[in-house]
Amino acid sequence: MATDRSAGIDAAIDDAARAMTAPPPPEALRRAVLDRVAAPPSGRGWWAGPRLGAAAAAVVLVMAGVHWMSRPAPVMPPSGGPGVASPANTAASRDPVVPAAASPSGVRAATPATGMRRGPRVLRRTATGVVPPSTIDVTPVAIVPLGTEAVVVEPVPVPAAIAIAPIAVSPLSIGVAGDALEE
Amino acid sequence: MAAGSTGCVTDDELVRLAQAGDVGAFDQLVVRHQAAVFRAALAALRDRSEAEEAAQDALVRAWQRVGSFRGDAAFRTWLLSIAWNRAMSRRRSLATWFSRRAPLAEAGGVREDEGSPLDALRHRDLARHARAAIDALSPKLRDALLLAQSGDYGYAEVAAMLKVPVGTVKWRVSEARRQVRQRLAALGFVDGD
Repeated sequence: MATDRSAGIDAAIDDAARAMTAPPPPEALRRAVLDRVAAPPSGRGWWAGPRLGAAAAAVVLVMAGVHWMSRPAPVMPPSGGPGVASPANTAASRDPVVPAAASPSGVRAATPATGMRRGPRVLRRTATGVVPPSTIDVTPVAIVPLGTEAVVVEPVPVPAAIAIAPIAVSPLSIGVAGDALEE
Repeated sequence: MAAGSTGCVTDDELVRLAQAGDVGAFDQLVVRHQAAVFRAALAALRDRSEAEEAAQDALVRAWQRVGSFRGDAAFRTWLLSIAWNRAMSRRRSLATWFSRRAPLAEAGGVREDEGSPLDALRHRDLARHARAAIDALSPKLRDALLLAQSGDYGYAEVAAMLKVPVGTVKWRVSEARRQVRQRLAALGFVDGD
């Protein structure tokens, strides 16, 4: 029987598996567990204070970062009125958007520059001491019509007429099976 | 609770005392079950120091959570589940897990009834290759085989630890044996030599 044949091998496997978990627990395990169980619960130990301090410092740092990132943009004195930045300053030095002429975008580059006078930029946030503008002048954008070139289409030569011959189809005759096949 | 007076006290009674904050009662539970906890961790981690740390973590965690133990299962089963989960968590976090299996290969386990020196040599060789073949098993098969063969757990406890049905544990143990036997046969270890 197969089981009997492999009894020695099975015993060796069992022994090997048992040996892999045979070592007894270390003597220090119980003492270490007792020490940790008897120690103050986590969060109230001697290191709780520094941990809270570190957490508070992290919160302060995060809040400072958020405040720094959401600070209002610098206010430039407007040319026309308070709170309105001049278009030249906005486009030339302060605007992070790449000018239309230098943009690699085809759509932006194809737009005629003559009709792209940028309107005055309104500050999103009013800084202290800055009066928001009462009116905003927006120059209408002129759209130049697209020029279309005429497409020349050459006539395609028509091939010669193809003669189609009628096909003569003779009806098939179906004979009586048996005698005809024997012939 | 005074040490030494807990000889005939059941686990349930010790658990109730521990739930009331009795560290001594929990210490008795540790004494009773630390070997099973340690061996479960050792089966999972295959490294003595890692197993000791996992067992320690598991026992401390059991103390912290003993208040939530409702007695749906035996305390030992509940404790072993915690130990196995801690060991699995540690195993997953060990990047060099495979390299840490070597020390256990030096553990004993060779049977004493080896007879002649030639037989002893053959048994040692067989045991060494059997351990290597067990090491080469997939984790699922190896875990089931080691836990089942440790002698500390029944199939139901192994199933509770691995969170699989008992039938699955039995199949895994059987399949692990078959694969190890196959590897040993390929190396020329056949009964009746």
